[in-house]
Amino acid sequence: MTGQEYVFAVLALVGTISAIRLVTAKNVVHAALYLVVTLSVVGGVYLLLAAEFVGWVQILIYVGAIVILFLFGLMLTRAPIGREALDNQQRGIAFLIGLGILGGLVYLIQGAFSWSGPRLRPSVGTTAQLGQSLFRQWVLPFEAVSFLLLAALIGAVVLSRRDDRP
Amino acid sequence: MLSEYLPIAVLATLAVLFGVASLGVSALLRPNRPTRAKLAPYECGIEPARLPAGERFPVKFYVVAMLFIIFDIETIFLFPWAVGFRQLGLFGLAEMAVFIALVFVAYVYVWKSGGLDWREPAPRRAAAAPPTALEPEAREVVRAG
Repeated sequence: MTGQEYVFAVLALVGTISAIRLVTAKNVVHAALYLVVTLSVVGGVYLLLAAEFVGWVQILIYVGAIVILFLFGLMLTRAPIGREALDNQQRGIAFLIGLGILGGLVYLIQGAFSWSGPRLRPSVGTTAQLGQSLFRQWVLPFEAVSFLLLAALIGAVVLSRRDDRP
Repeated sequence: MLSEYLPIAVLATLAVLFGVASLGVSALLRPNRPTRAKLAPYECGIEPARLPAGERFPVKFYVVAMLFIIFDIETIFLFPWAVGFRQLGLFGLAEMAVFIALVFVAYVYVWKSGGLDWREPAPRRAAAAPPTALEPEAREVVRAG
């Protein structure tokens, strides 16, 4: 086994354990914290696959921001935080959906790599390379992203505003 | 590729070890005499209080969190631009200026529409409502324990 495979084995083990704990945790805040571990591990896997920029985006956006948003949502709604049992009666459906997603992913990944392992091209995933292609070839989609951000921000403000009209 | 991250991995390992060792050694050495005040959560001297049942935090917090995410995503796009700044030249600068200007429009909109004002606007219809928000400030600073 190469060093990369050792690191992947450790990451996969930690990620699997924290993912299982994420769905079995009784405390919803603990579940959110296990989500931090799981998403960080996914970021580490991106780094291993030489997708440097994607890996750091994963850490910065998902771990740094999305989970914070989850915790805010828990705080603001009347979600049962604490030792209340956390279970809804949908395990059968959830099991079926999870099985379907697993099957689909295995089929797709097997079709894409046919058990040969991904070929790593470290020169493509670097931040500099990505900046070059983003700012030279994909100018219009990049500017469209700013429109999307604008729309999202205005939408957030409008939705959260108290409606004064009768 | 992987070897470039070796120093970061070493640093992370050392940091975790330092934290675990500090907690472990102090747990072994210190006397254990818990009191009610010592076990209370530390909130910078303010006595921790539960929200009364049925009362919620204002939704303003959530809006601020969402604003943070949007500007976080904007920052993400600054990284690849900053790395290749010299090669991208004036065109890249103009591109980034347009990008930032568009998101800045959103910022101005939020500011002008009062999304950043923390104080709730005075209720227009119910003018007789008493200013209940002023009462909790009186006991904001109390000694813990």
